[in-house]
Amino acid sequence: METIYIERGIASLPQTQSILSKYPNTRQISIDRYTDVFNAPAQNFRTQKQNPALILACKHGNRVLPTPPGYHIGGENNFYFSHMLNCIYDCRYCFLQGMYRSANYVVFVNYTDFFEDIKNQTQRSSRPSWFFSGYDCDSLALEPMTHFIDSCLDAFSTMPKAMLEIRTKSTQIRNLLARPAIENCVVAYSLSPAEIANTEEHKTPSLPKRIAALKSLQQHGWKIGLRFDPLLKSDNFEQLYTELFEQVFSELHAESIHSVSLGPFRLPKPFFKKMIRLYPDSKLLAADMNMRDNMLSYDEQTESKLLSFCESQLQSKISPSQYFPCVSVP
Amino acid sequence: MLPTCLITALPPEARPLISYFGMRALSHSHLRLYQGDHGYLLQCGVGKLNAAACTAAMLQVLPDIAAIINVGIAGSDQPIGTTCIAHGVQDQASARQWFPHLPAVRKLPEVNSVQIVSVDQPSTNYTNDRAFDMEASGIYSAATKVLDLSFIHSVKVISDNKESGITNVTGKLATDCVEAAIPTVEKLLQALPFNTLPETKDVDALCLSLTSQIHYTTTEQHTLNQLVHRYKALFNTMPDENDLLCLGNAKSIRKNLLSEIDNAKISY
Repeated sequence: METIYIERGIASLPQTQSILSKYPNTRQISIDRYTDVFNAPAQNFRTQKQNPALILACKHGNRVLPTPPGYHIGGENNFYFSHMLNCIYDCRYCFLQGMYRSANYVVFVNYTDFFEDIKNQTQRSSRPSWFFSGYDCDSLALEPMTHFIDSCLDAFSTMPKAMLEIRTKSTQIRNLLARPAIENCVVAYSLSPAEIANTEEHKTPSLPKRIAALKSLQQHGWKIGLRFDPLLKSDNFEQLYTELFEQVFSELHAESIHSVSLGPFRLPKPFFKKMIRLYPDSKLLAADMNMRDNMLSYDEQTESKLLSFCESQLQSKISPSQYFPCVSVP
Repeated sequence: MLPTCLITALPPEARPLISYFGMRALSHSHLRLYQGDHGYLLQCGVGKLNAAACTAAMLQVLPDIAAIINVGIAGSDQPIGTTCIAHGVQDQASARQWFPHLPAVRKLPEVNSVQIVSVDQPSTNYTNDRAFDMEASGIYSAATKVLDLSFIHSVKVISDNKESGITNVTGKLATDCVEAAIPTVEKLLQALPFNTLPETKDVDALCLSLTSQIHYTTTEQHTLNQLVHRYKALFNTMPDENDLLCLGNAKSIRKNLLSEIDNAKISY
């Protein structure tokens, strides 16, 4: 991190000071609102991605939002929240490239406001509510800097009716292993075949490292989730996904996996158009796509072939109660 | 390195850059332009309106310009001769602001960053966290219509402060100040992130060649450009120009490219 923008209103918060103390040799620039920098026109996501700045900001309102339809793992009340915008990884299929003008990272440092909103939302229903972290960012990738998830787990440990999913590709699990697992939290990893991860998921931990992290978490008592998302087409996808499932299920204790889901590759049309302008050289984005329900995706036949193959493979590994077909709606 | 244009307000600021970069004057009826190996220099005159008008006209005349660096003097409560790079540019009259995406600190060591406030009349309300100039906001206003904020920068050298006011600023002082900023300008030129932009030369060249020989509507030209990019991404090679020309018209070329793309094999 070379440049840090700091909203004046949160400059003196302990969270802000704690983060700044980790980056003593950076340019520190005071700003009024993060949106002045983050939403400004004339930014190039691809260029900024090589040298992103950090923006420390306050999230005013809309901190906890209902998930899009279909985004759930069995719960009735489903919400998502993002303590951060953007991700340190650079996955070529990621919708964030199409959604944001800027590749800078925004970290909202008013953590307690998030927890208060989660608590209020939980109290509105007698049934458990699910809260998904990692929709607009990777939940754990910057954990050594933010300690957000650590604080989040403290908060969730006092709210048994609130269920938390921590979605990640990161192996930054030291804080999780340093504390006892809690019942109402699932740590869910996005997984792709190693060859796809190596080609399309730039700067991410390798598949073996993600599996090793899952194994450690499982051994430590954490509930874990597997998210095979997005499913990417390839002429050798049967071989790739067969190998992936073999690798994953040979290392993990399948019966105690909390949930497994599949996610087809889909992007809203405006996001896709922006992404192909940014990355005209991307093979993944150059592939033949179809427009369905205002989303760009593989043609129906390809998509259902991918899904049914993976489903049939998973049938022999997990029970139906562990399986949730499609948790993927950008 | 892609062509870059340095922009200064007045001749005393332009002279050391023209001399250092070995530039020669270009003949243009309205713009004061110079050309050198790295690109161009534009002398825009004083004030944000001159700056905006000349920047916009220059980008029209020189569409290949890929970056702009504004170099000039500014007032601030920092020592005379201090070189700064703008981390923010604000137009005082409208409060509109821009935040250039700065290169890594290690690429510009020992260069402070500062908020530039562009004023309509010289200001002496000096503080050390901002610097007053009269052109930067005009340049950003015009240049951001064409270029990204990673490629528009403003380098200012402090020429006046509380101890030595604006009345002491002479042409010689301005020249000396800009001369002192040349190493920073050099480093900034090297740090511009051109390597992050996608390579489009061969695709653009093929499209230009095809559209100059076959009738294409504007929409068809855009489609052609997209299809050639997709073809190149999928096959890692360019489509054969002669094969495409043999197809005779825009529609047949589009169909052919689409068919090839539909049948492309993707494997990992």
